[in-house]
Amino acid sequence: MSSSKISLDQLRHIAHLARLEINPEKENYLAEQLSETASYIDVLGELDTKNINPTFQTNHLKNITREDVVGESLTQEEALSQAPDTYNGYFKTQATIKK
Amino acid sequence: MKFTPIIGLEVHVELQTKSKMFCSCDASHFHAIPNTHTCPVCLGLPGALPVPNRTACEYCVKLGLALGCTINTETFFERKNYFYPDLAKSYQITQLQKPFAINGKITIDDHEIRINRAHMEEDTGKSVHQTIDCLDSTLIDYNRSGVPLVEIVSEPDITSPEMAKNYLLKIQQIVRYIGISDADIEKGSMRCEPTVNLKVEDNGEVFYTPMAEIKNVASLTGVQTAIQFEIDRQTKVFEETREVKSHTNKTTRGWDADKNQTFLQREKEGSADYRYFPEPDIPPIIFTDQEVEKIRESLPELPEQKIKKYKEKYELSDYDANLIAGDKHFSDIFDSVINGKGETLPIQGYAKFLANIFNGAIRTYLNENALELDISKMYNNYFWNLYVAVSESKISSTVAKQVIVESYQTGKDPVEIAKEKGLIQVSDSGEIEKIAKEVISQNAKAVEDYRKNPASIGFLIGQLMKASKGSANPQLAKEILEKLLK
Amino acid sequence: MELNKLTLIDAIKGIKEKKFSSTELVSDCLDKIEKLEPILNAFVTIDKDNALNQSKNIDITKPLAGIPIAIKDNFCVKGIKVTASSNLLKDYTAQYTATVIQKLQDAGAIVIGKTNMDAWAHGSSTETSDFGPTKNPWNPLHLPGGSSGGSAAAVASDEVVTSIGSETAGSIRQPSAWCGTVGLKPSYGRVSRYGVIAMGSSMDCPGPITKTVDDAALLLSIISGHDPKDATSINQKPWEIPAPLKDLKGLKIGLPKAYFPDGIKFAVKEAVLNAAETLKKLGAEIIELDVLDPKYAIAVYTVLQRSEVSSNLARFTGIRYGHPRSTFGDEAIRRIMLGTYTLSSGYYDAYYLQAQKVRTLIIEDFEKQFKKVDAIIGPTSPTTALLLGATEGQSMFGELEDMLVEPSTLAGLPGISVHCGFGDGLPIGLQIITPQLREDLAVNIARLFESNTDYHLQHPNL
Repeated sequence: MSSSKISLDQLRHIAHLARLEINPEKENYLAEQLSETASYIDVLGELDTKNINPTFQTNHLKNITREDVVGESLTQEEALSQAPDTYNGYFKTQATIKK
Repeated sequence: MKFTPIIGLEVHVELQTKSKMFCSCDASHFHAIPNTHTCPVCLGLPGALPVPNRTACEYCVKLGLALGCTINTETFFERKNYFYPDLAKSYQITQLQKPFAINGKITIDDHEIRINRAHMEEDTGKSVHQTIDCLDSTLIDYNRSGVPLVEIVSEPDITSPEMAKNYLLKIQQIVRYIGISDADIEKGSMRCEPTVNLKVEDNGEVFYTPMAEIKNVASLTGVQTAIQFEIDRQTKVFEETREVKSHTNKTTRGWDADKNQTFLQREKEGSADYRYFPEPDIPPIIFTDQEVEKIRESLPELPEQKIKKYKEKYELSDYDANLIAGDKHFSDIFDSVINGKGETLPIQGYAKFLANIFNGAIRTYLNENALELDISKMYNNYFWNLYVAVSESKISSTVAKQVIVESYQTGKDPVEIAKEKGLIQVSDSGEIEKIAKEVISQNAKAVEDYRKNPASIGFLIGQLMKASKGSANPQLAKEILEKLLK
Repeated sequence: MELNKLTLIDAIKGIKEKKFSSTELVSDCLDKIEKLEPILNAFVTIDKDNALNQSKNIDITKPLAGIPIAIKDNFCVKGIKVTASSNLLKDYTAQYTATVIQKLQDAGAIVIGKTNMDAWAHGSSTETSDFGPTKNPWNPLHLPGGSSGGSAAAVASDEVVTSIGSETAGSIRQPSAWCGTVGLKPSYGRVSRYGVIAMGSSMDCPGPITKTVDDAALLLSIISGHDPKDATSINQKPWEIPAPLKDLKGLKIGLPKAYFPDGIKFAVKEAVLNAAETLKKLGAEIIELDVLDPKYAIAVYTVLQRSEVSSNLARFTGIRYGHPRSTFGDEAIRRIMLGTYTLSSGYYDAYYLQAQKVRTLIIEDFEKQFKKVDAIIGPTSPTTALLLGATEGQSMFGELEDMLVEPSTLAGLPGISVHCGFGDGLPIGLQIITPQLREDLAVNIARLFESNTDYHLQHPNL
């Protein structure tokens, strides 16, 4: 089982993956808290699950799909109504680099 | 040093379903007013949930079968987590561990290109970068968000830009044949990302250059040019640095169509950790063996099979076979015209004749007038009548081309048209001899030129054709003139 | 008239028999809300004018004709703010209506307001709301539990006649235990999640928080049923209220030793053991059970919920709605970070995948137990309502607090919590867990228990 101590580097990497800005003053505290939780969940390693299948869903459903039929959409106004910034029918945000 | 390109292609095909992949918004988005085909699901509003489009899944299975894949009868969706403004939920619902289709292949000129997988996923919205009030902004339209995509991933079995282009054309052809997408690269309903690296052989040692994935290639020629550029670039870089492929040095490069070069976009691929996990909001999808068979039965005859048939059964040339099979619409009509005649022979001759007519006169006419081939204008017996007339030399091939187009436009029998216009070829020797004698008597100088230079008979033939209003059989005309002038 | 003190069923009866009008009922509720809110802080939004307007035009034939209901603030109701008690969404107006709410409205109900919760449902106290904690009506120095603390407090204090909450692991049952209300968590998939801000997608269940078991059963019969917009909703017609049982003869009820961990409050243990006696007197056979240690369920739940949370909260980027990600509070940040970590490359197998495998072990354990017994009971929470401030600095407060309800959550099983006693003046909850889709049995056992006690008739002195 992997080490459950979360370093500051790891913390920053995780924060970047999650697009969260961590106040530098809070970094150490947060790393401690996460490490505490990580230690707790290490208990999972105690159980032998070699021949066990994972359960991703509990209600045994399969094949839930829909017919290819067009339904109602929001109007442009409704879609944009809660956006902080729009422009000519588009959502607007500050420029991002091309992916 | 010997450099061999290793090319893999990732192709995304936008399916032409009516509704989107996980919601019932209208899936058509080309030129739609921005943000008018959205709903809580494809806009990623809080609390919205995805429900898969059954038809889209069937289309994916259909494509998998057409590509010779094995179909996974139980599959599931997964979340690919990353942040980008045009990705509404900040995760894309896609497939990773269990795609619908795996292990297929496409053959290009006897070279087999293996297909690793074909899976279902949803498209992102579209973002446009613009400077507004002096600030660099990104504008986003989510009409395309959630449109169904099939991603087809090849193994790196492609060895040249030319082969890459042909592979894409083949995929495009198959996709259009089975009717699941218009696969239009310009419109963006078919997109392609090549991954390129090189095998380097140097004095018995083998090296591999770092892999580069190229994004933003928007045309077939672009694909070829980009791949070639990348091959050249990697060759030069290796000669300079001798850097070899590793787990961490795969790069993403963008294609700049204006400057005709690739440029570095993202350094370490390793840092793009997508944290895939099975989509908890969607139960697994099952296709029974019977359902897969039913889909397989619904597959039309595919281009490969048609080309084989045209070459083997009808003895068409490679060129003709490919040109006809290249368009499903065309080849279906071609097939029905041939079948209209049944098994009566000579089928090869008729097929060859039809191929010439279809690939020549008709295709040219349609292209010039930006028209689609319309079967209601094709009368099977018209083609046969014309074929017989040409075989009997009553109509020259030049005239045949002319009248078949007119027949397509008017719906009249082409032979009738030829008769009305006096274009029936005269192959009666007597008739021709009469006109030949007149032409000889009226063109003394030309006759003299001929005696000096037999190759100049062309002029006299021309005169005879003119005098007969084009209806004389040119071969016979030549023979008779030569005979008379001996 | 204090019509707000009525149960749901009595309120419906009163309106249908024209003993009073919907407007009178709504007004009484609004009056009580106005009086108590400065103390309780149970509501985020009170839709006063709309509620009164709607109350004037009701269709008396509908099952919930003119009944005002408090809705936890993670359900979208078009035109009303939906905040998940978070600063990020504090100015966000819902652009569509959740299926559950639509069903309630179609049945004639009126949304009177949106109740406070732990921000993003991340908690078991309602102390981590970005809008201040809700207080426990039994003792305002104490917490109401969470994350549906606002709904539980609003019902317990008679601010409203009934409410809807949601549970991922304990969020309906635990605040019900701490506030002395009935909390019914249905089987996963019984009630549509469409329009409920997602927390743990494979576990979230909307459900009623009410004054009596019959009230809860009635609401479940209205909000349940297949929803084509939710691919995880089971393909069944709405759940039907079962005919009541006369007694519990022939029923075997399990009492797991592990549900009385060290550190459990003595009064809680005593109250639950007394409750077991009551059930025995009603004819049930009480059987001691050896179940899988709940500590594994805590770990599984922590990993799965935080992983799903990290992905579900990624859509909040401030582009299409809401404020930027910098407005997430500390608890949300903690959970997103841990979830991102457990899903990240190199850790997925050890954490997420392993958790899903242990989940299978938990499900199999329940299957084994349900071969021996028909239902399982125990304390809903190991403590009574804790004091304000109890959650500070606790990295896993919620998950540890909910250890007794997490196993049933992970297995997708239904569970109900009913008031079964007091400890230092604070309510104690008895939970009843039954096999998947057996809400009928849980409801029937709870009904019989309730009718043989008078806890549900007691109200806090506010």
